[in-house]
Amino acid sequence: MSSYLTQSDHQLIELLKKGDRGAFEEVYNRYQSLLFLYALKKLRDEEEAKDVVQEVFVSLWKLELNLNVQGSVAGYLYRAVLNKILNIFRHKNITQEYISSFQASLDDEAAVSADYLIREKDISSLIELEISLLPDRMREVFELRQKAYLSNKEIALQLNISEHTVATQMKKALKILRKKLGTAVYFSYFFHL
Amino acid sequence: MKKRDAEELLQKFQSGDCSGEELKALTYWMHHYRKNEKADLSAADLNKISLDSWIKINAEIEDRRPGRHLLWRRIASAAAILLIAIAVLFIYRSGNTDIPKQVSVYQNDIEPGKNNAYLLLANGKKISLNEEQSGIIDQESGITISKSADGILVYKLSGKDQSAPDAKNTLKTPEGGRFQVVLPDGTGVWLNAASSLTYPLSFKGKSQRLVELDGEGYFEVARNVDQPFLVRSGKQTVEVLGTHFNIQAYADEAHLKTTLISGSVKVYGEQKSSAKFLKPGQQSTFNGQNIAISAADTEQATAWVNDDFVFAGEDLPTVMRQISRWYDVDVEFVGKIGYSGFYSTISRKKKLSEILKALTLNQGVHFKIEGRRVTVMP
Repeated sequence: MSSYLTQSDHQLIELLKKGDRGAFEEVYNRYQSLLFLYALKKLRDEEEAKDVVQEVFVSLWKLELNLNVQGSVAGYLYRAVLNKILNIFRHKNITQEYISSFQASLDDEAAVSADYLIREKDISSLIELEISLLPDRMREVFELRQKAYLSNKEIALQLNISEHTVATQMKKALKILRKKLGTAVYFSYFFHL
Repeated sequence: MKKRDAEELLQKFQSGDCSGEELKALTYWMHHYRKNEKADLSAADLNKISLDSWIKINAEIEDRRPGRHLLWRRIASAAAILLIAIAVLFIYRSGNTDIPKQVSVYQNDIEPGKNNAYLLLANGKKISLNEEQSGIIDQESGITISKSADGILVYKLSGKDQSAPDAKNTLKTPEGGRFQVVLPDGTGVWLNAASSLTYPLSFKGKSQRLVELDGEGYFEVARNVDQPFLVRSGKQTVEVLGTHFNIQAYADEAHLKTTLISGSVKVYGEQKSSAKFLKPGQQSTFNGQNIAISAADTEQATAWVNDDFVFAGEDLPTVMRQISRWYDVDVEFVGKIGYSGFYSTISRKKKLSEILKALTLNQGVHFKIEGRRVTVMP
């Protein structure tokens, strides 16, 4: 099985810091589509959403994001994307829809008492929500990816299916990834299997 | 906590006057904003977007660790070649062994194409753009034409704008050449081998941005809703506002192919009324009269921009036409050759013999290189 697939986010970041491209790709595979959808919903512009996420990944690779502090990798990525979204939003026209949605948020007791902090659990519940909204075939891959680092054995135990089934599903996921990332990348995955 | 007015806060945010706490409230709202919405994109759409971004990110981060990247590429291609070799071995061992042994003959080898083009100025002057020189090439009608250190031709409005409405420039690549240009509106165009692009010196004061393309070009059009961007190739016109797409319009290919990576484009022939719209990931094929739309392999269509050949089932003559353009060679077919689809990804930076070796392994054909002539044999 691919060594990257089974790494935790933090392990991948450690490898990425040493310049490991495979680790970078794996982080990209885990979060690019989710972050893109997150940005797209808010900006309603595919190009802008794509650019925003692209910029965040480029700065991740260039180690411009401060990743030394405690907290999840996903949290850092979402916050970085959110900051860029706000920069773009600064120049958008204020519509009635924005006003009423924001007003509802300001009036929301729970939000006020939560001190408007975006906590780690907000991020992880958002990720779960976004994965559940993905097109079917993609959702399967993401769920598989998320569980991958638990190792085959643990998934097998959890899902009460044989290790072989998990391995087959992993292969299927890799096949879809091959399409997603192109031949060369697939071969580099192949190399790590 | 006192009641606050959303509209007022939004205005404060836009003028940059929010307090820290207000900013937190707004950030919190934005994080949750529209989160329950389902995007209207298929898995294929998302995969395409992901791949497209990945290509761009790779282009940006390549320079940071070139050695590492090359190594990674080398490992990947070594693995690919190994796989092909194993597959061929398998086929040979399980198949007939009485095939007469043909041998390829390489009298010489041929270097791949490189950054090379020439520029035809409005006044008829012809300027050669080879790898070495950089800096300002020409200044006319308030436009500065320069070549950046990384070999990109750049047009810039220099202050005073005296529009020269009809002055045009043509960028022309020979066989074995490619070039990249940034037009005065910020649109980037990658020109493949044996291609030419004609464009006005300035788009200022024009109702549309019209350019003419022969051969193959990849366009990243700067968005401007007031000034549509039009690419004319023979009878075909592609009209866009701002988007990324590839056009293949070689005279020696049967069809004109337009592949859309992102955004939206309109393609039409002589009759604009019969225009068709492309969605990202789609390709239009124009035979001079009709336009057909199909799902595209965008990775394949834009592979050349990243210096790769990607073949996905093309027949040998089509493959050889691409090779002929990039390596600047004449190709001749001799004897009876059975064609089957060719599938492979090969770097365009390799010497010709390496590409031909892969074809020999995969297609069972043999080659002779003599000077700039390549003979294909059974």
